[in-house]
Amino acid sequence: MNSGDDKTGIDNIESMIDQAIDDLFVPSGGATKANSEKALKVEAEAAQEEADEAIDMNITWGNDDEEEAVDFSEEVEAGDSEGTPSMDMLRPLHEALLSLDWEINLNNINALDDEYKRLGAMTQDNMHAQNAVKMASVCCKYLRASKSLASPLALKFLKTTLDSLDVFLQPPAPNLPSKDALVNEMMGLYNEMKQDANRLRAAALKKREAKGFASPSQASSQPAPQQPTQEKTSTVDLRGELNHIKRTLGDLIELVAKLERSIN
Amino acid sequence: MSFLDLSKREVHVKIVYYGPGRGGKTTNLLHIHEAMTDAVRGQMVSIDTKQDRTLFFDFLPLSIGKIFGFDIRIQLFTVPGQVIYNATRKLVLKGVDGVAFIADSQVSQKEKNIESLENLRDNLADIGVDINKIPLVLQFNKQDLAAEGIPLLSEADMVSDLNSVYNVPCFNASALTGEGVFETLREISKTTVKSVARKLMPSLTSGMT
Repeated sequence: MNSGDDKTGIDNIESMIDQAIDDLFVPSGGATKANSEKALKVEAEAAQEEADEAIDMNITWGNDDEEEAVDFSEEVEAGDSEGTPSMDMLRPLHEALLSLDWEINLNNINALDDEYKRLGAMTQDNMHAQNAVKMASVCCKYLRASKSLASPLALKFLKTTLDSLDVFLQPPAPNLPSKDALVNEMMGLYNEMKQDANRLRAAALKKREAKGFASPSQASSQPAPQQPTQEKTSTVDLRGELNHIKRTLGDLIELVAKLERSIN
Repeated sequence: MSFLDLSKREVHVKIVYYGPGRGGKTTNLLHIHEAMTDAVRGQMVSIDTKQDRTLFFDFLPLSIGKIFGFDIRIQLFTVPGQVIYNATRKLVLKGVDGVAFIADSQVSQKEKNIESLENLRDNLADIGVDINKIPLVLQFNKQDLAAEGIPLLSEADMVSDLNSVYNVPCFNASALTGEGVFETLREISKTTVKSVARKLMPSLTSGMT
C-alpha cells in the first residue's frame, strides 16, 4: 500500500469513526429515573461531605467508651460449604472497606464502623478479634474527623486488620500465622499511622498558615479585620485543633498502654 | 497503549476520566452507563487487586461496532480523585489512550482543579506519555449549581486556569442532569479512536481480508 492509499485509508477510517460515534452516543431520552436517583445519591453524599468540611481538620483519636452494644445472640458459626465461617462473617466488612477505599465519606465510614460494631458484638469471647475491632474503631473515628486528609496508612491499617481478623476468627492451625504476631504487626502499623497523622496534620496547619489564615498568636495581637466567615472561624478551629491534639495524645498513650496490657 | 486482538479482530481503546475528588467523574460514568442500551454497554465493575493498595475503579466497555472488520471497544475508566490515591491513579493511567478531565466549576475548587491537572501531567510523564500528545478534553462540571446560588468560575476563568496551555476542546456540563456528558464523551471518543486508528493503521489494513 502506497502513501496515497494510506491517506485515503485513514480518511475513510476517520469518517467511519465519526459516523459510528455520532450514531452511538445519542442518549436515548436522557437519563433514566434510576440513573437520576443514583446521581442524586452521589450528589447528596457530596453535599453532606461539604457540610462536614468544617470538622475536616478536627482530627481526634478519642477513646472508644461509647461502643454501642449490639445483641447478636444467635449462632454465628454456621457458614456455607463454599467458604470458611470467618470469610462469611467478614464479607460485609470487606465490602464496606472497599467502598471506603474508593471514597472516604461519612456514609462509608459509618457503614464500616457499623460493621466493626457488629463484628465486635459477635466475637466477645475472642480477645484477639476484640483488640483488632477496638483499634479499627478508633481508626474510624480518626477517618471520620479527617476524611480525605487522613493518612493513607489508615486504610492500610484497616486492610491489615481485616486480614488479621480472618486469622483471628479461625481455630488455631499449624499453617496459620501466630495471632500474637499479627496483633504486634497491627500495633506497629497503628503507631506508624499515628505518627503519619501527626506529620500530615502539622503540614496541613503549615499550609493553612501559608495561605494567610491567622495563627493564634497573630489573632490575639491584632484586631480582627473584616474577613470572610471561613477565615474568622479558622482561628477558633486552630485553637480547637490544638486542644484536640493534646487530648488525642493523652488518649493514644492510654489506649496503647491498655492494648499492650491486654496482649500481655 | 491500545490493545489490538487480531484473533478476535478487536481494538480496545482506553479512556480515563480524571479530575479532582468529588468533581463528578463517577456521576459522568453512571449517567453514560444508564443512558446506553444493553447492546453496546458492558457491566460496571470494580476490582480488588489483593495487593497492598486496592485498585477499585469503574470500567465501562462500549462497543462502537465494526470498522474495517474490527470491533472497536471503548473502555471508560475513572480513578479516585482524592490526593492520597496517587498510586492507584498512576496504575489506572497505564496504557491510557485518551483523557477526559472533569473539572469542578465551583469557585472553591479552583486550586484543586489546577492541582489535579498538574497531577495528571506529572503522572502521564511518569509513564512516558506527553500530555500535549495524548487526546484530551476538558469538562467544566457542576454548572447546575449556579441555580442554587453557589458561586461558579466563569468559563473564561476556567479556560485561563486549565486550557491556556493545552488548548483542547472543552464543554460546560452538569453530570447530575446529563447536560454536556455525551458531548464530552463523543469528543474524547472521536479524537481517541482516530488517534489509535492512525497508530494501528498498518495492522488494521494488514488484518483485513
